[in-house]
Amino acid sequence: MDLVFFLLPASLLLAAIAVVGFVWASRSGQFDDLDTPAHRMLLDEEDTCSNDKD
Amino acid sequence: MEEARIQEQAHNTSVVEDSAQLCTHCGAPIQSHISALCDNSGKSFCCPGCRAVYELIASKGLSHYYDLVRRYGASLQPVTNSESGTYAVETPDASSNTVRLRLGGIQCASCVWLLERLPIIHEGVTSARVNLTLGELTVSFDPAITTSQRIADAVQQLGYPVMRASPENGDIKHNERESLIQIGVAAACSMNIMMLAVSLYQGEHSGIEAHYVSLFRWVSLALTVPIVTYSALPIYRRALGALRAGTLHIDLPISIGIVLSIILGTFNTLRGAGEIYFDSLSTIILLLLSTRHLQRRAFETARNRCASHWSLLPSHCTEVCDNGATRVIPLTTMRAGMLIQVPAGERIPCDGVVEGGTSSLDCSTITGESLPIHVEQTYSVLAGSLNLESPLLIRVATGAGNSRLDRIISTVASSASQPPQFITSYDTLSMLFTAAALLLSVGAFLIHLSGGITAGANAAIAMLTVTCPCAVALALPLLSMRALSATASRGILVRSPEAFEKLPLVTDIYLDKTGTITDPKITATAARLADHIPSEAVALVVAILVEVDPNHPVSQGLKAWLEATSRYPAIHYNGTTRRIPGCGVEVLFTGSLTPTVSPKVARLTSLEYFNANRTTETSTALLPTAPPPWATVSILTADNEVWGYFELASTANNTIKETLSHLATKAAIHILSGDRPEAARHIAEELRIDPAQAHGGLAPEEKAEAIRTRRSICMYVGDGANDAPALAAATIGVALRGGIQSILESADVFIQRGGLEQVVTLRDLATRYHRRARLIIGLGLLYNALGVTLAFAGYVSPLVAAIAMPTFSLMLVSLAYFSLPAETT
Repeated sequence: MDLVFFLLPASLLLAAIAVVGFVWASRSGQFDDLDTPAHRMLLDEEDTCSNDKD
Repeated sequence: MEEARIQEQAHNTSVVEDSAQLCTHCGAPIQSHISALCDNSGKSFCCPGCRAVYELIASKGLSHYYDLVRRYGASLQPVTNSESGTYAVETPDASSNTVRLRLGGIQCASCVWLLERLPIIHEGVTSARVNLTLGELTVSFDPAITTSQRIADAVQQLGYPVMRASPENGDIKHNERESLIQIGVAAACSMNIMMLAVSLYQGEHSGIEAHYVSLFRWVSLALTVPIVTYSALPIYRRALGALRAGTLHIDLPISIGIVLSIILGTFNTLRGAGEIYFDSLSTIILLLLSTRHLQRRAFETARNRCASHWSLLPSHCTEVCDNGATRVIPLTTMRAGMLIQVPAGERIPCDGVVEGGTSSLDCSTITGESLPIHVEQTYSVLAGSLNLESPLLIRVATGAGNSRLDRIISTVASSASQPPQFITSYDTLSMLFTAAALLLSVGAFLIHLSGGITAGANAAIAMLTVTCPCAVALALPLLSMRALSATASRGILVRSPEAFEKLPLVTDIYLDKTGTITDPKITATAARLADHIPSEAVALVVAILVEVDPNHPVSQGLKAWLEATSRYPAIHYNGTTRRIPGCGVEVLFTGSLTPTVSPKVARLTSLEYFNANRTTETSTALLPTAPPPWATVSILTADNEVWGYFELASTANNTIKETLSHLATKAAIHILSGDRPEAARHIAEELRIDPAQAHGGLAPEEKAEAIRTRRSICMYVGDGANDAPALAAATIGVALRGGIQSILESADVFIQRGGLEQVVTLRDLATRYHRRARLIIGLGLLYNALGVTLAFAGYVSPLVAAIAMPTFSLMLVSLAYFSLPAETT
């Protein structure tokens, strides 16, 4: 059970990495607009060659 | 001096078939009496604007747009005379510039697709990104190739009117991101604290070694630190701000609770004994932050949709220089003393005096007057009125930004420009209650002091944790957010939660007349035709005369009459038409009208002109002895014979009658109108409202005064610029669509779809909001009463608090969230 002295800091480190990632994503504006990408996703791209959906 | 200019048009129109064609671009039905504009491939359009946009889109190879519109889009609104300003906010950004434009008319995915293709359409644009919720387009461009003004014009040409962008956007975005990060940190830390707490509770139950307890407690403390020092910052800020302002806010007792809990928890951790409450503490901070974030987003979206900045004033005007040449100048450079020219169909950009030309003006959005006003030399005019007949030369009296219209809007806007307050009356209640909880915890401390300071401290923390303000701090803001979405989905945009609370208490409802309870257009309320003339001939003559001056309200009213009573005739005649300035229109026939009827001249004129120009043989049999004062009279004559007599007025429709009779059972109804008193009283009688409660001839400030003197909880419903002061003066101001949208700064509620009947829907939703809010508060009080009793008796351990508080909060939050369903249309 002494392993918990290693596991606890390790899991906290993982959590810290996740928070850092979240801070980066938020600051670069990825959470500013959550609605438009849902519409944009449905539009076909004719400029590119990969037209695999109709 | 200027003579009245007579405009003659040789008019040889070909027969137009009555067909139900749809415009290829906007999908609106093409009016049969306007010849459909066709291009070479046989496609037809309703107006030159639609054809121009279609050609632009097709020339760039973007016709795919029309497939998308058919698949996803709402129907486009046809491009009308653009009256908006094109001011843009520019944010220079290294080598390329970025401009953010707020656009109207962005409705669906196909709009997103089209606008994001702007780099193809307009040279110099490097990228374009649409935000559908805000209706915002962010464009990056190379300033060497194009300018923000040209980009705005290009977007406008595509059919998306550009509105004035509000300058506050930068800060809000930053704060939004910060608050999201605070929530993220709080969530990450509190989840881990809870995980450790489970171990600790299980350990209490079945045994755990001391060094693990110590480890978990210290780690919990370490995890609480970021929450309490970073995530909870907005809570402290608001508490301190309230203190400095001398008011009380619910965040104040919450802050005190947080600080006390962290101090005592740290102390106990250092001591190695005693209770810690880090799990409950972090949970409540997380819940508070997230619900507030959700609520703020909902309000921002609603506010952004409301705050369209349409202006009644055009962005440019035509200045006439001393040598007679004209040049187009931006409105911002217009100065007093300039001479400007205003063509027919455009709005007058300034207050001023007419120096040349004769015309009539539609001032209904400024003064509420439903009938056109005749103006000629030496008459003074107001900014925002629509020039109906012919061009006017106007000497500017007030420079840009100083007209009466500007002053009305700015006084109202400044008083209403505070950001929405989330403090509602329920907050006051909750804060009183939480203050009581604080006192109780002090009491608990003192009572248990006999067992030692730590015993007392533990009792105090237990009390604080158990008496959570979850009802009011969490559930009620969420409920008001749901109410906001519920109304927004029905086309009613509410700007402040106050509107919901005060609505069921409203005792007086004040209504504007023109456009609110009556149609803004006048219609024919009575028509008498000479029986010895075939009705097709009469209809044909009316149709011809109506097209001479199609913008005039009388023309539009008669056009509607023609469409309602008989098939609109195919116009086919030989002759010339002219306007009789200020009095009517005339047609001189060179051929015969119909095989059986061939008058030489036909006129559609006012009663005064008719009386001044008739001969003794003209029979007045069709005319009533006393024409009503509240209506406009129009007389159709041909060759000195009276062919028709028409009374035109603005009328209320049946839905309004039902709505008003429903509302009359809840509150007293008054009419405040800028139109003539007789017209106001007539409408009141028609709608079965006490005519003594109908007041006409009121200036905007007088309307506001009338509301203020009565001093009751009241609602004002209006749609014109002359309603702005009244909207601000009333407890709840409701602005209707179809009117000038820059009065939205002063309105608490904006009805985007539908008319007065939406007020009934709003009232119904507000009543349901109240019922649910009372339920939530009641349950909250009950829970707290129970919790307080148990805490005093010493039965509340951290485990009990940690289970009870989140469970109960979640229950109340669910009660709030699953209420007031939005309409899914």
